[in-house]
Amino acid sequence: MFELKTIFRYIIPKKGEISSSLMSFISLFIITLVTWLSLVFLSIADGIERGWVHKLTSIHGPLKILPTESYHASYYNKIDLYKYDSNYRTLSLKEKKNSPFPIEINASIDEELPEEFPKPHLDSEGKPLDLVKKVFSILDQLKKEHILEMAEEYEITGAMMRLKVFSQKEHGYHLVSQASFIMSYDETTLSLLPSPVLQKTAYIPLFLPKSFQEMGAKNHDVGQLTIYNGFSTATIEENNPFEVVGFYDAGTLQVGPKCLFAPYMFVSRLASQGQMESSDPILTSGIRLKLKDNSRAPVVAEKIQAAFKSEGLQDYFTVIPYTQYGFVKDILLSFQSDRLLYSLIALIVLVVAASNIISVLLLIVYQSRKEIALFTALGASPGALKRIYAGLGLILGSIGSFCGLGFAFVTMKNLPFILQNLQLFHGYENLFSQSIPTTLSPFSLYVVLIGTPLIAWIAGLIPAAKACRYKPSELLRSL
Amino acid sequence: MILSAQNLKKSFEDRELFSEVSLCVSEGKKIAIVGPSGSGKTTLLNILGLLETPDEGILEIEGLKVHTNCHKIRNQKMGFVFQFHYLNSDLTVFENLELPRLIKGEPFSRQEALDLLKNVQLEEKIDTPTKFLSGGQKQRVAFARSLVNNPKILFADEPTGQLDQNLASEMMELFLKLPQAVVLVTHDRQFAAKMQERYELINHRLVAW
Repeated sequence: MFELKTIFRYIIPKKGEISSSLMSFISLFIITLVTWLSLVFLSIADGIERGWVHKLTSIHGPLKILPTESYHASYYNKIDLYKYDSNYRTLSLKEKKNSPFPIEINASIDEELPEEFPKPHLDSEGKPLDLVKKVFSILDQLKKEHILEMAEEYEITGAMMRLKVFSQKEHGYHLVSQASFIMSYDETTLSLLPSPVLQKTAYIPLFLPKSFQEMGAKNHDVGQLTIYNGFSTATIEENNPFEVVGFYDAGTLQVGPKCLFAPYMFVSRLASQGQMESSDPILTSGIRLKLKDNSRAPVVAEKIQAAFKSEGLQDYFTVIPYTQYGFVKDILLSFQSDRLLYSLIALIVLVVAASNIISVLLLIVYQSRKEIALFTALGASPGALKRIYAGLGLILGSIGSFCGLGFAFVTMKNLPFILQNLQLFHGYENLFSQSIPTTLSPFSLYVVLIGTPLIAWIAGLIPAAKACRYKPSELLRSL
Repeated sequence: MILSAQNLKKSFEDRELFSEVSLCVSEGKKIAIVGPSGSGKTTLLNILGLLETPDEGILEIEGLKVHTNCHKIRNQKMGFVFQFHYLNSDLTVFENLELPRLIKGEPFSRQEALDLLKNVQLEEKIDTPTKFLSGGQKQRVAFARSLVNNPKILFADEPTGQLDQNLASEMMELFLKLPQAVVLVTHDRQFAAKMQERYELINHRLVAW
């Protein structure tokens, strides 16, 4: 109580005692300014990073579950080649998930399995374990626990394709031929793409990378996807007419300029005709997961991995968070370096503000020598004096932080407007105003709202120690 | 016995202020210490009041050995009145009186303040900022403040030094009426003569006078 009363006397201005309040106010103003600056600075940096992570993961998802080589070589996968139910072909993950048939062959219809056929993975009851259904039961549980938002199977395949892009305005067409990857989309993935309204079309609706737009392709352009199927007797050319229904920003996607998005069923059919083998997880069919908070991807990956291990699925599926995608690693590393650098800059700025607190508090302590001597004479302990002056630093830091937080909140909310007006001065089109973050990032809040009062408190310890070193008898004699 | 000091010695650099100083103060006893300027009266008072450390000697309060780190004892068993009042001029009389109790960590009621101020005839000034008080009034507030925690012993260093003759006499009366023990340092032998025990700090020794 004594300490708090004394602290607030130094902060709240009183007639005739304006000097210490004025000094405190200057200190408060500097902390507010520094906090505001750090919050805005870190929030923008963090927001841009989150924006990029969102872009980078929007197609692939922040987390992927991929079947391993063990899965492809397993009884569970290969058995479909011998089953009438699966039309004697391997099934996609989605087909496996939705299959109503038993895993085993139907002895009355299907042929016997070869002698060296892999053995099934049995569950606790001794029956072949349905690997995919087990995976989805684990994922459903995680969805119930609100750890996952969505789990969606996707297919990716590749083939030599000839793409004819017709133009409705220009006469004729120009031909773009390239080997392309086709990735599946469904309604959820569609919402992540830039043109979420899917027009009705009699053809295959296809999303192209933006680079095709630069070549002159437009929405409603039509063309053909040509696939060559090799059979024992001949190679058959299969033409699939499509209509361009949108373009997507491939960003830094590794195969971006060569990746087309087509409906799941179409891609699945193509994939079943020729299994595309790839060691790159980006080019492997699997399950993509959506999280509420992308930054939790590595933690959720570990959780799923642990669940797989307890169910014996770890050999058949691998869980990859976006931080391990090859094309993301460098960018993330760059963002992490930037974030570290910005945090260091923010820390340095806070330390500069803290040095201001030290000098202001030293001045207050010097001006209050008489009072300190009296407090000591009246029985105040050195601990109480420390609490007063270190507490003054802490309270200045806390009030400054909250004022800075308020200003930063208002600034972030109006950032697009501010940047728009800044255009008037620098004369360039503002490239970032559309994607600039407008919320304070949790990271910046942690750094600044915990860091500032802490540094301010530490800064207050120096003047507090000085106050404790005064000898009351000497001060009372000299003042 | 409230206070017992045995063989106190204090030097500043090479200059010895006093040595072999012993003093016992029993409950309610009024003691005056006189001496020429620079003889070390204030230093002795500061040592007795735990504001300064002696070079040698033992100090006991109510039988317990004490030193400058005994803040609680200074707060609860001792009261101080200095030559200068050391009031915070921007605080009211009540807020100044409240200080020792706040340091003790206990609440201080307005009624307690009024009771203390009644003794020094300043009840009506309870809410007045001390900067609006006269020198004599300020010293009386400082006197009242020294009694807030009901100490066992009061130390007064030239409490009348800044006051005129009449005010000084009034102040002395206040000290004499107190039930507490008082150790008063003064250069005024006339006032000192009114105390029950008188000592003089002379030639580095404390001698009864």
